[in-house]
Amino acid sequence: MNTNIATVAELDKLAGENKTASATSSPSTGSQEWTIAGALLQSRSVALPVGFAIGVILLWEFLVWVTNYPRAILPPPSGVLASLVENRMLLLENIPATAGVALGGFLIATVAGVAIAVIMTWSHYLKDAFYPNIVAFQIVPKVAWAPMFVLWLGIETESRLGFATFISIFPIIISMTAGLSNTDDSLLKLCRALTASKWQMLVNVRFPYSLPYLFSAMKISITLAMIGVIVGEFITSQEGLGYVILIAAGRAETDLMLASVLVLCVIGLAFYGLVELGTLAVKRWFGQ
Amino acid sequence: MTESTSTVSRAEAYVNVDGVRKIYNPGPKQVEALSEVHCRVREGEFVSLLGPSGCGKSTLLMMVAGLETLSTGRIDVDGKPMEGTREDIGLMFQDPTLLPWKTALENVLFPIKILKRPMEEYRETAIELLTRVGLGDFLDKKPSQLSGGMRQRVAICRALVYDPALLLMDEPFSALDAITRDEMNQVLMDMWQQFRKTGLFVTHSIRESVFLSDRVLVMSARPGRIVADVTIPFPRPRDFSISESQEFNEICAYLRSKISEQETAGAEAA
Amino acid sequence: MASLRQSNTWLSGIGAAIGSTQDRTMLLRKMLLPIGALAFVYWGWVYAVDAEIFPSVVLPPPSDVLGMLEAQSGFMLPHAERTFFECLAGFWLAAICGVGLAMLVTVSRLAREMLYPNLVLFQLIPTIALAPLFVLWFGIGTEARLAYAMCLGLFPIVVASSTGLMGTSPYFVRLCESLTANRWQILFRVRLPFALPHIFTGLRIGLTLAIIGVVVGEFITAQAGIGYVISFASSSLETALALAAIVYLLAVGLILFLILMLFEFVLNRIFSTTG
Repeated sequence: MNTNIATVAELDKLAGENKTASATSSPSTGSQEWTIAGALLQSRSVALPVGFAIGVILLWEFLVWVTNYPRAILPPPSGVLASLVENRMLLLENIPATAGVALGGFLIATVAGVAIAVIMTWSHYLKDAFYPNIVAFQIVPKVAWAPMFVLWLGIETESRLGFATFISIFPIIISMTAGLSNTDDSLLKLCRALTASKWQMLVNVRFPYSLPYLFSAMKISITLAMIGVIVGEFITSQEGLGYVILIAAGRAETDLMLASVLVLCVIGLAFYGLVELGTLAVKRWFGQ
Repeated sequence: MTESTSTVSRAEAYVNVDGVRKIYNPGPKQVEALSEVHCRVREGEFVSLLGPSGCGKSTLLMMVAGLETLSTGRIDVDGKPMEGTREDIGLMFQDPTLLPWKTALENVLFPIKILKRPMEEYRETAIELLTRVGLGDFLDKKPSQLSGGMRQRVAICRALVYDPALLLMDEPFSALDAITRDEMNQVLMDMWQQFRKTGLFVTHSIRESVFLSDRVLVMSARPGRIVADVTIPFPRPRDFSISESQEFNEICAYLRSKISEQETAGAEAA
Repeated sequence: MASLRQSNTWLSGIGAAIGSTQDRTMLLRKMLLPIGALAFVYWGWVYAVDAEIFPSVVLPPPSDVLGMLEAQSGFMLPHAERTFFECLAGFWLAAICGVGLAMLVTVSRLAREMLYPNLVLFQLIPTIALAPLFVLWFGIGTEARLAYAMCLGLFPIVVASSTGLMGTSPYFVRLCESLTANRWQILFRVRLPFALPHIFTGLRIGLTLAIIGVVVGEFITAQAGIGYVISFASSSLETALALAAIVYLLAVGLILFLILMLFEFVLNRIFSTTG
């Protein structure tokens, strides 16, 4: 018995000593970052997907190199990166055309969409008349209208901007109208009991309430705006990263194609991230 | 206890509900929510509307607030018929309905903003009200940082800040747990002592109605009518000790019997 | 019928957005006003054409469009059919692979941890931009468009279906495990029925994207199909024909969505979770 307790006590003592030992021999603050990374890597939920992705990329690289697969059909990741560096001027020149039009279309769509949603909330009749039609209009894929925009607005920037706006305005209208209309009924009753005017209810209650709706629609909208610009560039063949992809395809420069797609990814990610930041700000404002 | 149905004369009634009916979907499939409701509330009186769920008590309250239309009859508040909403009526719901993006203080001052009165004049009042209900340290907290009971306290302050003459409350404490509910009853009582408004309080809790009110009106099941008008004899200020008394429990038993009378009548009629 | 209501959840979603009806007059208003708005737009269109606000190239009279629909139906129908079947096939591929992948991810922890975050991340790739790549790989024929449509529609289907399958109430799952059911039984008998609403939400998005894929594919490959007609008509300034083609696309879309709705209805009946 005594030996058992002694053993346990000894074990505790040893454990305690080990703790202090590791504390005193802990590395300097610089390598604490390494330990955090180490801890992350040890976490399965990060290591596995990252590992899998890296594994696929390495496998891709290896296979292409080993089988000597024609680069025109599937370049290795290293080839894509090389092309990225080699063609950086070309890519940089065309980023403003794509990103600018996408952003511009998105902003116009947001402002106009919110305005239309406000008008429809103001008038029951307008909403009942037009909202079902707008929702029904969603059945036709907007991209089908792309050639029409070329017919209507030409092949220059205005055409692509118009199309980007057109394609991204509908989620905003639909979501914002839903948000403005679905505001908490008790809250509106309270306002009416205080003899609040329609305008007061709109500005003070409905609008702030629908901000989460707006931001979730904005995520969809910015994505759609990018899609609209790219399709527009495919059709108008003037400038922008979509145009670069088309040219590269024509010259069978697949590595340039993939490099352009990579750049588009980054742009899309950046835009999405901005909207996400906005969403987080709204959530904080709501005290969540 | 005394039961009577119109000891309040028309002249002394602050709120006068006369022959009010409410019918939804007029026509062959109509639903009669309220049938021939008569009741009167004196100025400064706290009256409870007690009844089972679906009896129309909330509908009646909304009509007094000017938020629901009447099918027949009339409602007068302060001598003038109700035709739409008025600035001097305070409202509380089961849900505190606070604006989530505003702090407690801003929420209390929200009616001032809507009524376009000068904020500075009412800031002091708002802070005093919140301190009185025990939220003096929570002025700048948002509703998500407050508990359910605390939010209802903010709602009470909001209903009182602009000094309305009539306070209408629709089951404000139903969603709270029993302990918090008792606390809130006491808070309401204390505020009542201070501000002495006319009050109409909807509830389905018998004990709550007896504790809080000067009179309790029992409503029947749908279609709703007033079937009993019981005066509560306890003097004010009240505290929780009265709920232990025999008289209190006798009144509760009486009210309960009135309600179950209605329920069996309703079941037989159905 | 509860299952009917379930299968029409998205329709009722639209219905909810449109608003609930209390009186008969409200119902009339909700039905007549949208139709009235359409009539108003039509009248406005006719007026704009008459008043010659826009050149007829930009805005042809509605009668022209209707005329095209009739006169060119012989020309248009084969294109419409082709687009229809390509959309259907592309969507089917995406659906089978998508739901299959979702099932794999649900059943195998390893697959889930390796694949799922990557699949979610893959949604960030602007797959639309890869259209020329598919043309490079598969040529300008149907295979290219099918592969493209499949790729576009795949990811939302996988993500939505996985969410649904993995999101089954853990109580149910534990109950089955305690009855010694294995993973596959749990998958098919419990997870799948409960996940149907999520799966069908994903399928609707997938169908939309598959249609987009086929149309954009037709823009680029320009051989046949509605996309080809729109593109060709626009560049030849045959606006009425282009608009007529869009009407055909609307019809194709409606039919495809109706088929999906039917599917949803049938599956909900079989696997009714509320009755």
